[in-house]
Amino acid sequence: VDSYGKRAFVLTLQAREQHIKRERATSNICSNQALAALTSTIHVSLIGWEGMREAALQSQDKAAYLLNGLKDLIRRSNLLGQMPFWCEFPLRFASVESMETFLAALKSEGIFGGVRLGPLTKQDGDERIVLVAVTEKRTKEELDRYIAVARRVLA
Amino acid sequence: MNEPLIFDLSRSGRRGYTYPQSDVPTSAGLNDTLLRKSPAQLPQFSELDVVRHFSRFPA
Repeated sequence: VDSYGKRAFVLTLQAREQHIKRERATSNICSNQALAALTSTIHVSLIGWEGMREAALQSQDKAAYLLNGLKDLIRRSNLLGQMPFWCEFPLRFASVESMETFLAALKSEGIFGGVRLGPLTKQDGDERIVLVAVTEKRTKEELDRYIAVARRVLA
Repeated sequence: MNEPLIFDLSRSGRRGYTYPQSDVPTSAGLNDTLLRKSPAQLPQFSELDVVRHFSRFPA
């Protein structure tokens, strides 16, 4: 029995999770990098190079659509420099507080607004930059929601 | 195990998955100097080919 007095079972004489082993299996794949490598191999096999190209172009178009929707807000708050980008772009805020308000507002709507750059680069000034990434999986409706929340917070 | 490599099974023009049509306008895109000149060397498969190949693999 366990510490709550409930009946429990243990794996005896098994070095690892052999109960999940398939017939003829030569190794187990648990939650490790080999599983990640295998799933991405399968994914790439399914989409092929044309699919890879399509995903890249859609990611690019959708990132451009989102940035375009944020543009007037960004300029007004004096936020961003224009560099060539593919599907990720930085948003620079006036202060760490305004950045956190922005991210929190998006989070409350179930949107992951972006990655805080500061802890990653540890560069001066980066602590008020958010890196936003858009992939082919996002829809116009989702991007419009992002823009609407941003408009409410930054306007 | 005599399973061929995934590249040996590849057939030009096959697609295992097609993305939904994009619902945003096409962007200007990247400068040509930033783009690759030839297609990436990735295998092309139908969905069934992929399922069969990876199922034959004891994992």
